[in-house]
Amino acid sequence: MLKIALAGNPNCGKTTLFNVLTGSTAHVGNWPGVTVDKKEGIYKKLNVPISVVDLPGIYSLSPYTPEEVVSRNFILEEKPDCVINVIDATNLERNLYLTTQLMEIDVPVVVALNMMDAVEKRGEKIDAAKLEEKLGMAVVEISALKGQGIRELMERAYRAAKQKRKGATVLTETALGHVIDDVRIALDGKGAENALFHAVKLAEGDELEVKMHPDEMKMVTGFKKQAGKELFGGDFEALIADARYKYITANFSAVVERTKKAEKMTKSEKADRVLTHRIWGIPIFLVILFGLFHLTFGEDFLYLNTISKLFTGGAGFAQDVETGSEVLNAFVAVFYSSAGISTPGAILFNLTGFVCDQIGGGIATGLENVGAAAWAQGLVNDGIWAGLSGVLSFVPQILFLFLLISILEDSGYMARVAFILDRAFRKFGLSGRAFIPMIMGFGCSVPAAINTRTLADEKERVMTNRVIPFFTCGAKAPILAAVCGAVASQYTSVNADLLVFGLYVFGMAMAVISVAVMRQTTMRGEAAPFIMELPDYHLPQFRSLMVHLWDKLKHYIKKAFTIIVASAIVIWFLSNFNWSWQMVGIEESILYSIGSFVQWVCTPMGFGLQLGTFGWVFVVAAVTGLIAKENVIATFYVLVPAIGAVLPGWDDGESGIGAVVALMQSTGITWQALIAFTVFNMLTIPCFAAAATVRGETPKGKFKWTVAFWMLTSYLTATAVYLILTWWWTVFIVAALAAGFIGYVILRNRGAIVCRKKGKGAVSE
Amino acid sequence: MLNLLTVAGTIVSIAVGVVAAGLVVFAIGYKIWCKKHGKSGCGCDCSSCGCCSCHTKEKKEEKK
Repeated sequence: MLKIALAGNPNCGKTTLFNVLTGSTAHVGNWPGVTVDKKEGIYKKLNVPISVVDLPGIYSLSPYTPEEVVSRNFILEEKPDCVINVIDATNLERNLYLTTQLMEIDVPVVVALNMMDAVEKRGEKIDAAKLEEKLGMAVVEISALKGQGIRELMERAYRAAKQKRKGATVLTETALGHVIDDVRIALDGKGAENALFHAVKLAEGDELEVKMHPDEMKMVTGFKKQAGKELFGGDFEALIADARYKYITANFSAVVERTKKAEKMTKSEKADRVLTHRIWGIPIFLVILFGLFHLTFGEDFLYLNTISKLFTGGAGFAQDVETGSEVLNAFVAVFYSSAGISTPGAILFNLTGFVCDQIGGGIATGLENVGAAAWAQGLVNDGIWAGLSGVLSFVPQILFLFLLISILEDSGYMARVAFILDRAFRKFGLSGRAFIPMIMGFGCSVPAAINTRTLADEKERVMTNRVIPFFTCGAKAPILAAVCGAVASQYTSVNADLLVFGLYVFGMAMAVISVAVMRQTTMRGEAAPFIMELPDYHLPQFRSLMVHLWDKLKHYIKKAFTIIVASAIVIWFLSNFNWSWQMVGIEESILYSIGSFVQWVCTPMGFGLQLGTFGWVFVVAAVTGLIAKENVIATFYVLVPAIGAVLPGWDDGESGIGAVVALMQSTGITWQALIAFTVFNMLTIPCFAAAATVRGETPKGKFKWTVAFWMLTSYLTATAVYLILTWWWTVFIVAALAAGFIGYVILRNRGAIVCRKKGKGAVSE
Repeated sequence: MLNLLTVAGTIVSIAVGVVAAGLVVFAIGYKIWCKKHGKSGCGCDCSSCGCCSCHTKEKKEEKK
């Protein structure tokens, strides 16, 4: 089967084209560096099927980061039959830099001028025929987003793949032209493939090439000595880059026709003057983030009821509706309650909770009527269904949050977030590039950890992997929603949306603090330079948004019906059976004995020994959360009936967060301890899947320290949060300890404190 | 009638037990199968995450 590779700069639309060609639903994002590994699919619309490979974006064929190596190695070693060089036509000249390198390889290349619709919108014109003539390679105008020009592109790629092509370079007329040619002839003589490409890379002093061809490198070194410092101070890599850009400007500028309309400031540039403002950029980001959480978790839409209270002497317009029917009351409460008009996210949550409640009631009645054994009823109602509904009731609400986050991603705003955060956090040793995987962590830590491959600096990669779990993922979101909802329902002065927002921001702040501490201690060094191309803003594509949501939904459903149901069954079993495998009450159960044994560990965080008999419920929930974070809520739901607590009914309008409310009432846990519990879960070891991925992405020997870091940070932070929220004056003790630590680090870095290793121990002076 | 109900109740109870045990076995088996076949071994379905390739032999060898 013919194999065609898609290569091009980051964020030029390769994955969008790949999806169009193969019918795949690979993740597409409006920022550079979304794809970090190659993906394969089949194009079936020609007479013969063609294998299409989507490669990570690269600016040049001299790789600096692991994912750039993937692209270079694929083109050179796996020898595709043709390379489609996808070009962002709105940035033609910069994208052609890579083209001038690809054309040096002995592979047929077809240039796909993508985003031609955006070019037209800008009022520009590109003469594709002229470009084709100058490049000596096929050029096809396409719009991957709109599916235009795709068939022609593939037909030309198919034709090109059938022919052989010898590499050509634009560097012939430069001062290095001769030496490149000499090296090429020497390599050709040895029978090396892609001799021209290797010759150019040797002239650049490419590390990989120098190791591979030491003999030919001597020719370059000899020429360098002859030329002295006259040629670009001896920096041949810079000389070649300069020559390429000069050639591009001289030969290809003429193919772009700019009108006056194009010279005006674009809408994106105008929006960026506000959204990436030096002062207002971060406050605007926080307001947008809060807007997201308000629309998802708020119970008083736009705070209309709260505002009305200001004008009506504290009464507000919203009241509980009494219809006379319990089911109807519950249904009305989905949209409207004494808290106010529900936000879209709250409506989805209430509606799912209502449906889950009706289904659960139906199952319970059915089992009772059919005369099923008590244990079977318990297993289905309090085990399987409790675990499933506990998680599923949050799914639509969390999907709504993802929809909003996806809109921000696809619009191009998330790339700006990295840019504005870079400016603020660079002084703490964190570059904006590292924020991209961190922001991805809001969705799932696994792809976020994999995206750290785009970071060139190893230390930055390790640090970023360590703090990614601090960015609350979709699996942790139900914990925050349930706990904050429960706290808000018990204390009317608290808003659930504000609390969730506060915890999300707290997680981000902890990430920055942790990186700052690591930069001063174990991971010393400067933040890597951050250069990122800001994509144009555009309206998110409906299909792309739906693909994001479908991916998330599949993920939740698959997890719910495998690992979460299985965990719920196991927890139900452990909480209803003793070590002799007899069905017993909770206080004689296996879970009780294990939970009680380790309960004391959590005492400093407020959910240990002080909770008495059933305090271990929280310890067990935190442990099951290691398998999948959704298990925390599933465990609550399973254990509520086991410990004899009662879930509030739907007429209270609290069923979705009822498990936490029931636990608050039956175990006596305080809201402060609940917040500490949430903080612990946010910062501790992520689920096994994420931990395994982080292990794969960090250098050998670093993972054990990463686990220790997660455990220590979560334990100490949750303890500090519990202490400060319970006894406000402890803030001074915590501050003094933090100041002491910072002082020690500063003094040590200045050399005032010297750590000397004596044998196995260390002595401070 | 009462006997019929008892029989139905017993059958449902046994079915519940079997299904529950089956679900646990399936969940564990599915995880093992996924890991073996390099399909979403991490449990994450994100199409772009490439998680399938994260824990392959090549990757481990690369780290060594």
